[in-house]
Amino acid sequence: MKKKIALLLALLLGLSACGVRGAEACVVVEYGLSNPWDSLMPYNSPSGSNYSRIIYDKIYDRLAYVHAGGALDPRGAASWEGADGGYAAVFHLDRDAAFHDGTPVTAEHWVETIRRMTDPACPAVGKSVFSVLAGTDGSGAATGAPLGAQALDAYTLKLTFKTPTTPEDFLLDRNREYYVLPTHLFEDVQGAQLLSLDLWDAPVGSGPCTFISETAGSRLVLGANPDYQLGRPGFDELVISVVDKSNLLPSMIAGDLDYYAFGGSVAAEDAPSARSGGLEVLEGETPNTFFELMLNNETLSRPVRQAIDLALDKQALCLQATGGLGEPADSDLLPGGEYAVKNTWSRDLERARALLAEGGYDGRTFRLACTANRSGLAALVQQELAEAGLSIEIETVDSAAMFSGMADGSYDMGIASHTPSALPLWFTESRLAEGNNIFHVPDLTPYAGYIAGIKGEMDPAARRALVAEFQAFLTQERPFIPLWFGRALHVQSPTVEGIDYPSSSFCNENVWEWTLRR
Amino acid sequence: MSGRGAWARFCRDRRAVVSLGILAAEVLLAALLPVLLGLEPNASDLSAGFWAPPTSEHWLGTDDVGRDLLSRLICGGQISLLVGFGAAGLSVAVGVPLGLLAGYRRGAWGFWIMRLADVVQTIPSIVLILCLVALTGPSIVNIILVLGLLGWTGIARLVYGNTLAVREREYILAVQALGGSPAMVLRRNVLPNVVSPVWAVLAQRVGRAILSESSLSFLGVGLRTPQASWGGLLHYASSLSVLTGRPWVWAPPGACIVTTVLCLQFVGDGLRDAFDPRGSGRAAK
Repeated sequence: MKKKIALLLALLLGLSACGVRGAEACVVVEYGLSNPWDSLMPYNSPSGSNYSRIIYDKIYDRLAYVHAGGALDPRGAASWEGADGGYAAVFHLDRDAAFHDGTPVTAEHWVETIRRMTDPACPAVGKSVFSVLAGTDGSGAATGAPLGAQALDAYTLKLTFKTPTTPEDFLLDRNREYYVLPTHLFEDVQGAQLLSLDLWDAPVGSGPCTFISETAGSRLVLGANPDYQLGRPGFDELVISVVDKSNLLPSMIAGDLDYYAFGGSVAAEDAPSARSGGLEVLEGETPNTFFELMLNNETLSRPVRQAIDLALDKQALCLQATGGLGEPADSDLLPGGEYAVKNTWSRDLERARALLAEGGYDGRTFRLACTANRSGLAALVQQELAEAGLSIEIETVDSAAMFSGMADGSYDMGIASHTPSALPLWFTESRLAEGNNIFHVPDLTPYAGYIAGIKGEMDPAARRALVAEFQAFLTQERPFIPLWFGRALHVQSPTVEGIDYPSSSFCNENVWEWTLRR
Repeated sequence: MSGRGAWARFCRDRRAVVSLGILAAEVLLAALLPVLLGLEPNASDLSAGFWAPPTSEHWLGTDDVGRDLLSRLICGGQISLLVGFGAAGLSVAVGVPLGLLAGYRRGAWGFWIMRLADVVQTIPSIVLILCLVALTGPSIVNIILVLGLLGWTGIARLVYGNTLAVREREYILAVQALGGSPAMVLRRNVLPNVVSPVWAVLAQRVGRAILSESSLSFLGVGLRTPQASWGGLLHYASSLSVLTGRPWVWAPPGACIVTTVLCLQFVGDGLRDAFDPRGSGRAAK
């Protein structure tokens, strides 16, 4: 009996990397996440949230690593170039990349991944990420036409797009959604059964971390992949725990966490607490949040939308929300980026009142939705609009309710934030499109024309001119109101070195460069 | 038991009298100061800045939007007290008739009303309140309705028990024999003899309703933005930096809630002793 118990204990210990190495030698990084992931299958996340993507980033490999400023580094692909007059991108895969079971990652794995996921019989909810590829429809399902994914040789992958797209634009926009799957493990499985595999409960990827165990919704234990092509992470185990957002910083101060996603981000008002708790806080250089006031273009006429833009004191709003770590915006283009336009916004209450009169505003009360943590901000918006004579009432709801309420027209306005990128259409392309017309724009034709023109223009100077023209049109129409770009404060881990904090907001973390401080 | 006698007994309980004075002062200040001083609890003073510490201009500093915290504390008191007294009054208005009906009619009436009370009491109140407020939307009226309609069970049980005892008294049987209708008997003969302990419970219910509203506001599902309440002001303490670095933000509303609830408890005790014939002896000692 004793032998059996001893054997059982040995087996249990053997389940974890630390069990193999022994408790004393085991190097564990405790990682905090404020919301749980919803699936370990990267193409089947119902929420498609960043909380799931940051998990996939560890287990599965992507083509590139995206820095906060928009720079790209090799990851699954060692290099890339454009082809076919801008309609294709060729990726030269890293020949050292391998799955956790030792199988080398080839171009055929990438092609098979895309082929299996775009199979109309496969019920993966995330297949829409492939809708940019040739041979797919708007939902990302294969149409039967030649699929825009091809293995030129064992380590060369070619992706063909529906519209001209540079490899850099593709990676900035889609890198966080493209993962290579171990297709050799489900060659004989029908598309309809693909998501039922036990593989997705204990996934095998080719990322920097291996799967060890999961307590759904609360805890995930990953091990270091010793053979990762960019280097072995400097820990044995990465223990990811779901911790309430308000407890992330106190947990780090208390030493219960070594790091928390995303990038140890902390509000300006909490920075003094972090510092007094002995933690170093550094300011990010690249804007990582973009705040907008979503507008319902059906209930708010163009003059009223313009009046709202002029009535808001964006400087005060930005100060309230960021504590000085941001700048007011009059466009969605990333400040300092290639397409940045000069900020010409200024508050003008008189003009706002005149526009309200011109727009026939009858004194009705509009409904503004926001999440509870932005109720103060909403109160400030309410005061500023009241100064111009516009009345709103505030409804504090959760994020999902706000977006669904905006989509179904229940709300007239909503305060939302996003992670910006250097692409000129990072914000507008997905929100001013048929099927996702969240601003309820009555006629999307002119927007679609501008977007198609910009996407099809390969000459940088001509493209910049088109972007500027589109921005002027957006300023005139004001389907949404850009509020500000904010920079993050990052709490530095007292125990882990080498963390690229700002890039975490792009859902990738350089864990292969993380090492524990001695 | 005469009202004058009960008041005299109440006045002998110094703790209750002082508490009543504090409560009266609170109500008066909350009702009159906003009008007399022209307070604007929802107006931001951007020149003072966000999270400004106490100054001569803003005695309790400003909040995250630059609003004067003293103004919000006073006006928040209006709402917290309104919610407290409104919800408690509603609980009494529902609980007393149901308790009377169940106790006087007994049988199926008594069974079903008391089982309904059992069912309501078995559901964790804060969970039920959160769900109902989420469904009905955050507003003063909805919160008063939800808190009031969920708080009747204890009062109904109290009145039910007392009614069961009173309905067997000889004077009740005499009135019934003389042809008194059930409605008249309940109103004129039963109610006055079972209602006295309700005054004590009413005071406790006010305190509980204020705490419940505070809990809802602390959880972020209280009143509609930008309305202030003591619980809403206390919600700022959920931020680590406010909790540790800005005590002037959360300490005053916290003190107001604690003081009010304590005073209501003492007043309730005083009322119970004043109206309880067995307690009069103790109070007179």
